[in-house]
Amino acid sequence: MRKYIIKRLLLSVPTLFLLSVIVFTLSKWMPGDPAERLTGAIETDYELPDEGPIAGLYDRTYRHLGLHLPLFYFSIQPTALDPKLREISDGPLRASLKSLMYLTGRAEGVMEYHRLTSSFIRDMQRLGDTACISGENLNRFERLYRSAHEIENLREMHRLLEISQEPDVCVSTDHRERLLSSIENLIQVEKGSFWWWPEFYWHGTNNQYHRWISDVLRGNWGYSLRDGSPVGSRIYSALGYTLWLSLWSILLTFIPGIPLGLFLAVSEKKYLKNSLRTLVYGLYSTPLFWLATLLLIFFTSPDYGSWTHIFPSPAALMLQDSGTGGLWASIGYFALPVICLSLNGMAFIARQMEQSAVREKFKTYILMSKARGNTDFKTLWHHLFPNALFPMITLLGAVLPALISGSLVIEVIFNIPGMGRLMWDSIFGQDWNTVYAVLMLGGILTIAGQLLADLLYVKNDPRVHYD
Amino acid sequence: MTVNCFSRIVWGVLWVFFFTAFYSCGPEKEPETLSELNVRIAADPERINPMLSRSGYATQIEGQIFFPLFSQDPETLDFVPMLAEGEPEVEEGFDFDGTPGTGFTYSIREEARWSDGAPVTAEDYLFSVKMALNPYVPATSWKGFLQFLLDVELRPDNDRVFTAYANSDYMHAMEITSSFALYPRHFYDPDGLMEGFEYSELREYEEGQLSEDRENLLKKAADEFTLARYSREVVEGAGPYSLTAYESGRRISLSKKENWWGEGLFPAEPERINYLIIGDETVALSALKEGSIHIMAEVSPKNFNELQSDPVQSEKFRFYTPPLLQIYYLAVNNENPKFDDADTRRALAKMIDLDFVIEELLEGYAEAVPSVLHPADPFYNPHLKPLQYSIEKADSLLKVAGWEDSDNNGIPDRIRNGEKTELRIDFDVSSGELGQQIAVLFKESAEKLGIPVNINRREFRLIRQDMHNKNYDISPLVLRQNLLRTDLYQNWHSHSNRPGGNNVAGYSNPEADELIAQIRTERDEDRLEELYHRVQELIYKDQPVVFLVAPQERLVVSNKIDLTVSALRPGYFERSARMKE
Repeated sequence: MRKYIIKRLLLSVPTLFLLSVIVFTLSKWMPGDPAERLTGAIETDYELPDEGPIAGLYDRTYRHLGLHLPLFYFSIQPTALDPKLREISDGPLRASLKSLMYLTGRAEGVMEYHRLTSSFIRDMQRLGDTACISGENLNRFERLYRSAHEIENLREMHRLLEISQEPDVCVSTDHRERLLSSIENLIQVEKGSFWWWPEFYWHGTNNQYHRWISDVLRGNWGYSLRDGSPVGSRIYSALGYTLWLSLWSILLTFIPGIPLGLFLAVSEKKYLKNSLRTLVYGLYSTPLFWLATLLLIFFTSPDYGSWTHIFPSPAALMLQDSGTGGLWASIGYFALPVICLSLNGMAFIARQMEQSAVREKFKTYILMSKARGNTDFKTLWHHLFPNALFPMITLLGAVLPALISGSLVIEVIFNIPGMGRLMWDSIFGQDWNTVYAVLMLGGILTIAGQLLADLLYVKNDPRVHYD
Repeated sequence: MTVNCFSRIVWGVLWVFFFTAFYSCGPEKEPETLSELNVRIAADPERINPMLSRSGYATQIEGQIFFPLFSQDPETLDFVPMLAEGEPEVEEGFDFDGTPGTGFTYSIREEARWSDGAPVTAEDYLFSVKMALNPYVPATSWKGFLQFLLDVELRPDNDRVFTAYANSDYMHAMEITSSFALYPRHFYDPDGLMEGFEYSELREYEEGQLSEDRENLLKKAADEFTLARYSREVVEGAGPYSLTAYESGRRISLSKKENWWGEGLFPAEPERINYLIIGDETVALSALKEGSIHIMAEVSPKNFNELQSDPVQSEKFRFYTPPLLQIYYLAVNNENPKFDDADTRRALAKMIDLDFVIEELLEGYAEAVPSVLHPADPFYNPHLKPLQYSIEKADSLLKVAGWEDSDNNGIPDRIRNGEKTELRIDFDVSSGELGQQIAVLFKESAEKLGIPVNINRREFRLIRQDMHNKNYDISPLVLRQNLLRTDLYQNWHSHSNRPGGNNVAGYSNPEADELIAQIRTERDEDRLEELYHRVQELIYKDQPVVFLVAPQERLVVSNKIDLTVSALRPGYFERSARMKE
């Protein structure tokens, strides 16, 4: 047995590693730019942020967050792509250069074009009115450069450059000529037939994943990108609410759910059984958000008669001091969310228990027990119950991660700042350090929960052994 | 386990839960005196640090903790001295490498103190602007206006007096030298890391110019300053309140300072202000009805009307609709050949039923706007009338603009420079509900004229990038204004029509450019009125965007409280709240 546990624990290491890689990679595919979030001015929907000299600031932040580094120890990319593309901090520009690389199949040519164009634009902007290209054309030129997804854009850029030919005013004719020929090259030279050939690049340890995972292994989960506080403290404060909510709702789910399921399975009272079963189905199929909103509207304000004002509104929870003492005092505010969660969960458990008990009910050992003269109660609790409990153990394995994951719907409706909301806010706020930590924690608890369930199988059923 | 034992456990647990739950329940008693004022905010501001915060709620809370030299009075909207003793001495005619400068000499109030009793000095002013210009501090909006602050000069003989030089060409020169929060240097930079840097040196900072040691010093100062500690624990200003609790996602509590230096000079009535973070409106409303919240803004028009018409509830509250100082409009890409003429754009404007938007979508809490200034603006041109909804007029305008269905495929088209273009419209919207509703409204009208409209729902960040690159057709936007003189340069001058510039419509009219530039330097009020009126007229005629409405704030306040309601954000002045006699 001990050997088995050790083996399972060892196996969890590669699982967690794989999880960390997947989580990390997925986060990089999400839209959004943490560097922009960190440096952007107040930005709400439909509102343009104030302009400001933030170009340098953005670039510094991009580098500070390590976004210019390769993602992983190695990468496999088509030959057409330059692995150094990531070092360009300007997101839209990076995207347009990338599509140009795909379009022309020429990584080096595009990088050369990019270097020449960006310095040309900078020089011309510095010269202002004395530049060899008019302000309007320069704007158009820059815009084309930043959104050049088609060869047509390159042709237009080439045209704009050509009509700007006034060598005595232009600072560096040579620069302009080289830019012209680099654009010509991109337009004219045929795309090679092996541009898609996957090329292997080795980046070594100087990569984003390595940076993050080595910090994590040293126990440093990093700082939240939203408010600069340590990730651990954010999780700690959210976890308090979620654990409190989950513990109560799990207790109130399993404790009435299991006997109710057993009753439904074995009772002879058809009428009672059917009405209970309808109730259970009804509860199970009630959408949680609807039930929660109804309870909230009816029972937290005196709108529908003072007698319905039984529970305080969630705002009162906001005024409570935090800490465990605060949690005990605020149990009234948790009553409605707990009721919502456990009514729904209880119906599910009762259904599971009923089905599993019905399966066992007709087996011969039950008949045997009855034949030996045991009472119905004894047969039920001593023989049927332990055997019917098996699927419950599987469910119990899922309870451990559920303890910390929280219920987003309930937390939003009842305004509880728990883990569900933390996760939601962090994903949409691109606060990846927090997201990674929560997901890894969830992964560890899932593995632990499954191990626990496996061990409980052994304890509950002598036929199961792993050695 | 026996049945008895099992059921005992079941009942035991249920009893414990319900007993404690009900025991601790029951409606909260409302406070008798206004020692605590509870205000609802809809989202966690995340940081309380005027340089770094990114949300309007943060700005609201910071206003109670930090004081600037000057700020707008919420009632009169005049610019009044706060930390400054009085009006600054103004001296013009300075030159900073070709940039004309105006010097504003301020004197800080002698009685002004930080919470530890230390006086507020000119050094603190200098520290605040230097920290904002530290290249590693993401103080984006501060960096934006500080580009007009040319230099700061302290006096060796008097630590309360200093001169700030601002770019004379900038119309809000005086405001940018005086309307930002002052930070106490000894709290935010206890090791004096920023001391060795000159203001001008930071202003002209370029990467690679400083020695590595000095560069690292800047980095260290920025790292310290941006720590959560300076946004949630050490939050120090010269204002009447100090931060006593920051509970993420729940509440931010401020308490009034004992023996505050400004007592009697500035209103600060409540002993304690709690900002309750409640995102969901249903929850917030139930808390409001219960009495746990005294002030709730941003109530949806529907709920606002319901509360007002409920005889029981309406007695418990007072209802206000101060102007929001925002204009909703549809940005149109003028550089797209489809929309490069005023007739087409006017036709687009005629396709939107503004009465429906105001009466149905905003339940009457808005007014139509014809041009770029808010109706509450003193320079608003009252002679312009919003374009009226008329599908027939839109149709004839399109015909004037040359749009005909020449190939009988049902879609209007026209030939420009030898190329045939069909009038198909991409309408980009993000998550805001009103924007989506207007998009649907527009689509319905446009389709009556055979114009296919494709509504794309995307992240606003992406829409904005496309707008800056003129890679869009139509998208809704909000224009915020304050009651200072509105600078039209950013959104309507052709110089701002460049990649990254905020003239996303691509509007360009030489006469308007001229007027906008004149407005920036003109001081005479009558002449200003003339200029503003003319520019509004021009923009109205060119209709570079489709102007929609100016919405009103919807504010519900407990009727036990007397409160100053203001046109300034957030629409009320919580420091003035007092219990009604």
